[in-house]
Amino acid sequence: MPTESPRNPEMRENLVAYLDGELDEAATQKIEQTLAENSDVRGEVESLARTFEMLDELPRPEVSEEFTERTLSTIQVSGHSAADSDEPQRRRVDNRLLIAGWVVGLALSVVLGVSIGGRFSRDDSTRLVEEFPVVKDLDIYTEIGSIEYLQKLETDGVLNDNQQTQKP
Amino acid sequence: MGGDSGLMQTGPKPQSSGRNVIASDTKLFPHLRDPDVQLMMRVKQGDDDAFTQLVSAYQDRLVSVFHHVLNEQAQAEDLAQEVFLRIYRARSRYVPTAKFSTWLFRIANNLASNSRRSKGRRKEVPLSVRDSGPLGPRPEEKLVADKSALMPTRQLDKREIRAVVREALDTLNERQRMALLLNRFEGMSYADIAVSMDMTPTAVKSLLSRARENLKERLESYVR
Repeated sequence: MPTESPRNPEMRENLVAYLDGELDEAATQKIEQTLAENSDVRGEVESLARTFEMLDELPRPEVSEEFTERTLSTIQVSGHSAADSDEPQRRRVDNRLLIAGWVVGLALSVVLGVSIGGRFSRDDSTRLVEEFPVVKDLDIYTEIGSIEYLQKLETDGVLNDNQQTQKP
Repeated sequence: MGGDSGLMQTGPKPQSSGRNVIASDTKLFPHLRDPDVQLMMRVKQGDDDAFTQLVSAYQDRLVSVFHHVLNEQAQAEDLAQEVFLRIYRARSRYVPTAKFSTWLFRIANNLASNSRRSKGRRKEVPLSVRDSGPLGPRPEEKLVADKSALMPTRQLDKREIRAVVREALDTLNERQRMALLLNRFEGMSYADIAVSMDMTPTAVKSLLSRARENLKERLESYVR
């Protein structure tokens, strides 16, 4: 029967699981029956078992006493201080403070940006209001022609008289 | 702590202390019967002596597994130390949802995987017996290589067998090695290996089957 061949992947998995005691009772009985009937499968199981046992030949390194002391002292230092068990909670608080800082900083940047931007990009109506005293007498200033003559007229009081007569 | 916290899910936490309390909680947390889980519960309550006991109980086992998975003793000790550090850091959040050893080897498996990934980034090339570097094969490799031509008529001594098994183990991938070592050295069930390696028991069954088949192919000529 092809499913009873040790080359069958499912059969191979079950043989290893059988050796590890991982099969349920029904599957175990089925394997044991196959083992009794099929010498190829029997040989496969023996080979799997014996090669697995060879792992026991590997050394099991034992650590020095110094390793234990070093481990415990490292844990005493880093486990109790920066890496304390409350670290996640502390980190959460730190994160919240960081986020709050960013929000405040962003808000200040927006306010500052609006005020600086406003200074350089005033709209026309604002500019007109500020320059209105000059604009309303622009015709007179154009006729006067020079700053020196303007100052002389102002000193003589002519300019003020003229401006007063023009008021409605 | 990444995947290490997989066994420390939130939920109903065990009562704080006392044998009676532990006994009443064993229904809720069956692993409380595990003596090492009980030690860990004491660590959770601030008992550093209990932690020292856990380190003493597991340090050699942990270093052994790391040593054979990574094939490097110094790195094995560093990673073992890191496992204990992570356990200690996690003590206040510890909930015994698995055997202590299963949790410990889950952390170990995660660290071994990270170590493998960082090694991969450095593009290290694993050495085989036929490619042992500019100085040629290491003495024990040479011994095996020279004498293997005489196999299987000749009986290998212990040192040679050890080198042959080491070489066979090196041909497995890291997951196969880890599963095999947890199975053989730690006697872990498929279910516990599955938890430690974040797999299903069925996947562990397949993984171990492939690993054992590869091992058999490499070693069967030495056991006949």
